[in-house]
Amino acid sequence: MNEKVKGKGKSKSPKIIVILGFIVAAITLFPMYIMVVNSFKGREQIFTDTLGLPKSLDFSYYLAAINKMNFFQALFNSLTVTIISTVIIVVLSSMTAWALVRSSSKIADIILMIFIVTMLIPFQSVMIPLMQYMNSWDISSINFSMINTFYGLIFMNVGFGSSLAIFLYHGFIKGVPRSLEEAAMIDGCNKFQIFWKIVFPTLKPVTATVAILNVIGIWNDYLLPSLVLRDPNLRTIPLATFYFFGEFTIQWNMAMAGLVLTILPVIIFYLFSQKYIIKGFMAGAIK
Amino acid sequence: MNKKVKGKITTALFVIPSLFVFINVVIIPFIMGTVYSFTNWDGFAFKGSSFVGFKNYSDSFGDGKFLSSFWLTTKYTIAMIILVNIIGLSLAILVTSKIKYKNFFRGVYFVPNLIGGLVLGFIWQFIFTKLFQSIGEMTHTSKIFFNWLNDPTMAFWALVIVGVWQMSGYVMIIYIASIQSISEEVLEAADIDGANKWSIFKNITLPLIAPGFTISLFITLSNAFKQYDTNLSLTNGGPYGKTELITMNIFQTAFSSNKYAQAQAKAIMFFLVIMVITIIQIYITKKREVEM
Amino acid sequence: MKSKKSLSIICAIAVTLSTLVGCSSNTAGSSSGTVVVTLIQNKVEIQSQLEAAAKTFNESQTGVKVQVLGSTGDNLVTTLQSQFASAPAKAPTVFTCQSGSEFDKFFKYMAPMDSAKASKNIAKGQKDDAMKNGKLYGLPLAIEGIGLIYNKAIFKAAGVDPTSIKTMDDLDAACAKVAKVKGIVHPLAFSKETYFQFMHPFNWPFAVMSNYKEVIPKVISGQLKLKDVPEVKQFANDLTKLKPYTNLALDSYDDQVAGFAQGKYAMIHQGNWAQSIIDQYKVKFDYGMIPMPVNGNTSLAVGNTNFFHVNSAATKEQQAGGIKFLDWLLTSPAGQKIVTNEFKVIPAYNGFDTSKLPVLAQEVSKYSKSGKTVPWTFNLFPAGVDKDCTSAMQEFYAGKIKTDQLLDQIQEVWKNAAQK
Repeated sequence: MNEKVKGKGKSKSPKIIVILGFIVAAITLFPMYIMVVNSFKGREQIFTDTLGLPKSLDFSYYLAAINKMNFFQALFNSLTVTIISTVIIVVLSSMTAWALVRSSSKIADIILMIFIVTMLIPFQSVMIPLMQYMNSWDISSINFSMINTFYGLIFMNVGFGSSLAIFLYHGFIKGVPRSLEEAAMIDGCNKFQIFWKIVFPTLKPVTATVAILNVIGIWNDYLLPSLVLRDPNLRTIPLATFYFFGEFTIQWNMAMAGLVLTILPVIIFYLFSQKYIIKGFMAGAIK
Repeated sequence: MNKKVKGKITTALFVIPSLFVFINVVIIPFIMGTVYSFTNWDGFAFKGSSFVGFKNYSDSFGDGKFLSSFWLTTKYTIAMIILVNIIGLSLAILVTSKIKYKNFFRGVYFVPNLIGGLVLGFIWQFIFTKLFQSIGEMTHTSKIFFNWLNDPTMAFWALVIVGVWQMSGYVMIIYIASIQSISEEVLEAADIDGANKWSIFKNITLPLIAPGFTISLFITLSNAFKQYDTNLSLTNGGPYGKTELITMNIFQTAFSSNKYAQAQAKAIMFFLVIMVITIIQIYITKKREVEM
Repeated sequence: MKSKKSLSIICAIAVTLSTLVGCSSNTAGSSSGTVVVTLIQNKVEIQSQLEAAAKTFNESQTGVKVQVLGSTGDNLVTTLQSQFASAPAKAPTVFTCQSGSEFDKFFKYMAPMDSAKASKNIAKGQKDDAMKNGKLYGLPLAIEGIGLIYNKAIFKAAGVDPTSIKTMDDLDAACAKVAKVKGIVHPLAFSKETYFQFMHPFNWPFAVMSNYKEVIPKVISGQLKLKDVPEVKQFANDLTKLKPYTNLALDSYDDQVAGFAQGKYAMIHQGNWAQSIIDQYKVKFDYGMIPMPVNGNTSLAVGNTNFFHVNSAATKEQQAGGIKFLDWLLTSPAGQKIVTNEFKVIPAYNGFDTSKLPVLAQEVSKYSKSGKTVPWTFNLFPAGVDKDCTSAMQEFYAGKIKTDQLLDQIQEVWKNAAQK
């Protein structure tokens, strides 16, 4: 199917829309500009001349920020937690959503409802009971603990991320015709094969969406990791940037440098996964 | 083995891992929290707390700020839903159409969502205060460009603006996936039949992306109601405490006023109300969905 | 199939990685007799120096190993809360929290500290907030002073002699003169954060009373109307007169100090902690601190809200280790030098050499040593009132309510907060 035929309209669209698009883009990126520009300035210049370009590209704040934040350790920690959590969420949630949608029992509907409805629970209200409960899972004889470990944090991330993922998957799976699956069943494939070989590939757009949303959410998460992780060398990046955010004052230039460093990996991931998304969308369009 | 039973077992295997994690991380603590709300729990070990029935619930109503922040959050959510969906959909259409640079735009529009809410609030705080002030002074437009965060109404809209800025890209992606899943044949057929672009959009595209709308509406609704991070860093509930959204009120009740059990009660009530609202919302929008 | 294979590889790596990292994180529990002590606090300004101090301490002896954890300002209470609620024995061995309601909240996890050497040297009046039932439950680190930080050069240009400001009317007159100096936007600036806008300014009327400890509870219970307390009523009226010369507390702390550094504000109502920020501007004028002349007051409000406490649920060895570290920091020459030269805070103890302290700290030290101090009374205000009282202040500054209404609203907030 020729991509050019899709979304047919005049190939030369009014210039006005393009201009509008650029204006929106500028508004979108403006805060980013502020962040980057001010990460090179001394404290004085930040207050007197916030909008302007820095007098010089002073990377010393970046070096100081990297140092103070123990950046590379924090980067590794964030990558580990984020990637593993996201992969598990994608795998488990897609499987669960598919099984629940295809099953025609009342129980399946109820379970689905519960997953979705609990998305509304604010984290702050379950925070302390959660910590109390997870703490009780300690088995000190084999050094197992849900607190102060990555696997504990990942476990909790999966718990919190499942609702939205299942919700998104279930919405799209309903639009996938059963015909292909039924044909495969007749051919003698078992459920695992049907799911992974036939269904999952068609879910690429949603998988991409679920992946991005979780990567961003988990990467930027401060509250949960601050309660679960205690060792300084386990700190994820948001935890590491606390150095610059005091109770009453913010060391803006260092904070900006730290924040730019925080966002950079996500932006890089986003730039790369964008290409994958395009492929995924196109593949999804070819039914 | 009976094929049906085997089928059921496989289904169970598909579902049990998520369910196990979910029950232990979300359901059980939630039940614990609910139990706490009926006691005089002091925020520490539960042992030693005694049941007080519905006292925490009735006390919450005595807290005028609880009701006012609830109402404020409702207004905020309504504004968010309308704006985010209109903008998100428009951006999605822009980005799935044939114009130049659309890939660049798609990339850019999503960037706000990459930044955490807390950080966003700080940056925008700077924009609404110092930047606006200097623009107002420089261009003599101080009626429009002044420190918005010192005025209750403008501070509210500042919150909305930042929320919209952050969430539009998110919603845009949902609509993109939705639009992309519309089969070209349908669009081609309509085009061949001579329908113009607007009527194609109204009569074919819109109804077919209804599932996307349901999802996006639900997500905007729940995110807006639960808003905390940006509320904290942008306005911190000010000025005069007039932009304190409900989650902030609950948090304050717990950690500042030390009324942990009451905070749990507030959270439960909050949750119940939203649950009812969203169930109604899903019911209504599902009825209008077109399943393939 | 391709995706299935890569998926299983990813899962394999995932499991391996997480178990690896899960193992390496375990440092609690001792190896061959070294007691591990964890410490958490939230003064970002001294965090790195504290970590360095711990390193020095660890290298100087082998019985105790101190590990400094970290936290942001508001997150500390949440973190402590959740840790004490789930597993008190694993909560940090040494922790800080504010006096007043936070002290009461965490009191059941505090161990008595009378055995500490440092407890014998605490400066006059500085241990009261950590005493309960005759025992000491916390060690202060620093004292801090609140007053009016003023720009000496501007005062000179305006012809104002700082020592002549002995009453609030004198302050008004001084402001009028200062307002005429070139570059001044407002003679006096407050900052908008809750503690700076309400708690610290409203400390003055109570601090100059001799019986504030009886008055405050009476106000909270409603026995006494706040607007009938003469010192408070007078202060509110004085503020009304002072208002036109101020920035109406519309600036953030950062902006308030920035304004002072740039010569836009001649005076700011602040504490000596602003020193570190002022330093970053490399100002060229001399500055100092004078008292707020409420009721003819000539003392700075000196107090301390941050105490180090020891976790009573930690093991006996850990508790002793924590006290050992604190004693080292506060009584040994090496530790004391770190407190004055690295932390740059005014020690709440006798026997420190304070000559190397920066300007504002020296001012506060001067007043403290000559006994010209009034206490911090806001620790007796009920828990969580700062936010709502600040809202009332904002309305007051905006001209929406007058003094009586302001005082009534404040009292209403106190009464509600105190109800269980």
